[in-house]
Amino acid sequence: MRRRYVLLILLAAGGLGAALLLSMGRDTARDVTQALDLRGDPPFEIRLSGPLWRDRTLRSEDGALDVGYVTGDERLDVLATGADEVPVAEVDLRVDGRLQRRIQPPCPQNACPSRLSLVLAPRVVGLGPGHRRVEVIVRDRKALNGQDVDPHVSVAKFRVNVGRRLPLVREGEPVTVVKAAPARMGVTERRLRAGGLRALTAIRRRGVLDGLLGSVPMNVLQAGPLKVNGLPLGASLLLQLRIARRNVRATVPDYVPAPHLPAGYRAQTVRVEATVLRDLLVDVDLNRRRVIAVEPGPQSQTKLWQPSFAPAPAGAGDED
Amino acid sequence: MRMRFVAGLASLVVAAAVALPATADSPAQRPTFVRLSENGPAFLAYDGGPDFDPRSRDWPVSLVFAGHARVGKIKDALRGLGFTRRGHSRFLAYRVDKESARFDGDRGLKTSCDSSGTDVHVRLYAPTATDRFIDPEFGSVVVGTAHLDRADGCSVPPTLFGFSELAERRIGTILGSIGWRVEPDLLDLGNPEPYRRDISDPAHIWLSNGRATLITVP
Repeated sequence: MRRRYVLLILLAAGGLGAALLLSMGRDTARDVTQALDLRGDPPFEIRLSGPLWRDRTLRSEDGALDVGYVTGDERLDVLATGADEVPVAEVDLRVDGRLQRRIQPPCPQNACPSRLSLVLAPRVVGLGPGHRRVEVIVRDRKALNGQDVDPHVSVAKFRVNVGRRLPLVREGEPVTVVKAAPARMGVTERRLRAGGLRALTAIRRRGVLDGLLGSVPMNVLQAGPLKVNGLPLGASLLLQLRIARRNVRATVPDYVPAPHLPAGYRAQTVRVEATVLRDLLVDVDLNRRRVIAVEPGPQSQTKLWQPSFAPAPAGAGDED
Repeated sequence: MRMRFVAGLASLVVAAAVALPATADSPAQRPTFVRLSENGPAFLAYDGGPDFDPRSRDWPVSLVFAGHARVGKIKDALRGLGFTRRGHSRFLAYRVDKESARFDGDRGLKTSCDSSGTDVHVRLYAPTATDRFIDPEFGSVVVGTAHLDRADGCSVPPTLFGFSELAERRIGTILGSIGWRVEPDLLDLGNPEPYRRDISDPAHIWLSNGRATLITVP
């Protein structure tokens, strides 16, 4: 009975501790990295500031990065303070592990300062674009003598993202809150829509899509250009079936990107089965007046998608 | 006056009026920094890679959270509404005061897949150091992109990403259901992406009217 009581107390204490950690963790992390700007373990406190420190890479609570875009070498201010008056004997500046500068403060009569302020200018841009690791290493005299160095060295490090020259981001016209209705369909969009629907009607007349669509009418939700590497090729339609169809199957046209071919794509067919078909993407090559892809849209449930010889076009792998 | 938007960053200057290269993923508009108010922070109107290459833009910014917005607060609310999964990281360029540009990264939050194998993916951006932008007219601000993912780790292909406009509407509806003030398509960010598809990357479907939904966080 007593053991159970102790266990309950321990569990409650653990829960309370976890809750405190969860509620305070982020602010605590910020205090260290943002407000105090302190780095390094004893024997030295290393306070960093200046433009390069401001432009360092940060990490949010969910691990995502917030990166600067450094296009020129920037100043880094360093203030090293020895705990319990430990004197600073040497400071190294390293970038990507390579020594860029070594500073040994004057130590008259063997008395080094316990507080040292430096202005450094790490050369990061010359190393090219990418993430660069900047380290400031502070040592006391015992570390220089090669004794058990760990307790006598403090390190502050951070990363910066070096970019190419800053491109222009143009100045736009002042704009206001939107009050007018969205613009109506333009001439180009109407032409693409008409051309796409003509090709779709033709293929439906041949019965190729009967298994999928039957005779159900469709609304055009969107019509726009179909391109190959940015150049016009035809029309792409997003269609909605006026009545959803269930448990349909058909073999439909599709393609895979083929930049080496003049058309920019390689035609194939796909065996498709849909539990529910509500919407459809239809791509039309207007040069050939041919439907080249029929794919269930984002509101349709597919059960089978079996390309004839190549994987379905899926774009960039991690695109989402 | 409060609602005045000023697009642009006059101080970032190199090479402006060059036409976009013709590539699959390039947005229809040259990515531009926009400000919510004249003296407020600036952010690029598209997310993407941690660079300024127009070809690596992913989705247009279509959500602006204002009032008492913080990334953590919005994410907490979204998690409670079923946005429990995470996606891949993307970045949004921003600039506060006269400081140099930075890129905030976010994996975003995704709903679970619906019966069609489609989820809603929203990414939220603000400086990590403050968890929000401070805008003199809009208060605490967080901006976001939204899109649908179909067959992204669930369901049977075809795999599709995009339809930002549809995702924006869904998020507005969802957050309106908990009492947050939602003003659809209120803010013209100058980043319309008319519906289109490119054969070289057919899974990436652009669709956005360039008008962001303003959501006031209580």
